[in-house]
Amino acid sequence: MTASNRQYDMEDIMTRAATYRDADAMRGVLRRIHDAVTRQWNIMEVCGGQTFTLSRYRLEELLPEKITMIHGPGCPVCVTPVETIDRAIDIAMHPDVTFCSFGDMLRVPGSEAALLQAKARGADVQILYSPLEALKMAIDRPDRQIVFFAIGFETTAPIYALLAQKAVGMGIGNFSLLTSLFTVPAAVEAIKLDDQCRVDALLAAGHVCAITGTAEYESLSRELGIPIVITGFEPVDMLYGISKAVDALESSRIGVVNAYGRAVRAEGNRAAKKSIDEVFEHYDARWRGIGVIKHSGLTLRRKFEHLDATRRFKFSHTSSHECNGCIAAKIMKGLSLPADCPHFATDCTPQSPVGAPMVSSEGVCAAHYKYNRFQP
Amino acid sequence: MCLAVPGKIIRITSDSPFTMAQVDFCGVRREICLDTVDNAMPGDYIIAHAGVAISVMDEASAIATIRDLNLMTEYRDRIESSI
Repeated sequence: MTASNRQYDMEDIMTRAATYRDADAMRGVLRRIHDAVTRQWNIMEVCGGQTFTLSRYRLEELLPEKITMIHGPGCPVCVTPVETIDRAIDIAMHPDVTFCSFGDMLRVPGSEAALLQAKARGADVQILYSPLEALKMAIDRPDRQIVFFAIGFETTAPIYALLAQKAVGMGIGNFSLLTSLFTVPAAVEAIKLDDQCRVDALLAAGHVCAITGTAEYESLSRELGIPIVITGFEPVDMLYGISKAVDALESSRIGVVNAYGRAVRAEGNRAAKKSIDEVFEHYDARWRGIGVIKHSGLTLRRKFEHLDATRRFKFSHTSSHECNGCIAAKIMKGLSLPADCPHFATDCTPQSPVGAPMVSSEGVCAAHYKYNRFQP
Repeated sequence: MCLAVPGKIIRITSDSPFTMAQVDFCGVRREICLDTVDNAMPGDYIIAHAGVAISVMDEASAIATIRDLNLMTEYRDRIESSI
């Protein structure tokens, strides 16, 4: 049976990960990549979830030697600034506060400690799977100030926007957000314009683009002069995205290719974008290890600023500082590998992280530690 | 934390404070918020992130990708059987 007349089981191709982890499909795409590549190309995957897939399935070892993958800055756990971690700990220590967070953030080192140590010292720190649970908690516990540590990129921003709208609409006064929100295109632009940058093509993060759509990446591709391929997260998706990037590079084509069409529409998610625009505005955000990037962050608009935890709680910490010599910035710009860092797998491990990229499974150092540490 | 997974909407279960639906993730059913997507209906496939739907999936695009992948697999089979 040929590809054109085959019957498809929609349940399988929409939801079964097995379809996109199929060894035959991977071999087919790999063959295509090996046959197409003639020159040395550096391809950056932006998202930490994609870095994780590359490491977990050892995909880099299957690619032609001429292709180098550069692991970008798309791990929100890794780029949340040290000052914000310090602030989170300070807020969590307030006796009337229940501080809610995704689990990864508890182990990210601040200047002196991590949230986990604050919890051990008695702070009421709760790990939640969904930020929605925090608003429900605020409704159920009017005696407590509920703060959610709102980290993430465009994928997660609409969830916080929804929470802010609901909190205002329902008049919930004991709920606030400590935001650390970033947008991908501004960071990609800053990295590409760095003199030392050697990125030839970009794999854009599929779930970010599911929200934003593709238009912003079309203009970014033209401005930076590189092809951009919107890519999913399963191993077949990753190889498929790399294959489309290699095709574009070998034929000197600029522009956007959507290799994750089942999840990403050109117009993105209109409802989510409208929510984000209503609640947040852009500002010049600081990225841990990288520095301030213009217009690269989202902060609450004036109408919602009473939900900003940094306004609600006095900050007693005076100066934040990095204290460890972690080389995350060089790694995220593609200038170094985790193994180049003297701390990697010695005093910096997922159990006891020195730098932020060793914390989350999406952090490049944690992924390399788990899957690539003993690579020959 | 950026893990987002596809599932199929089974039924809408509540509309306050959030519009929630029961969604099937390969046999595991979870309550997912639909407030951030337009016009999601039972039977639609969605991608859920941190308990919230972020995208209604497109069946035609999924088939197009699978066809393209199948062509690559057939290409490989042809090349390797001719060696």
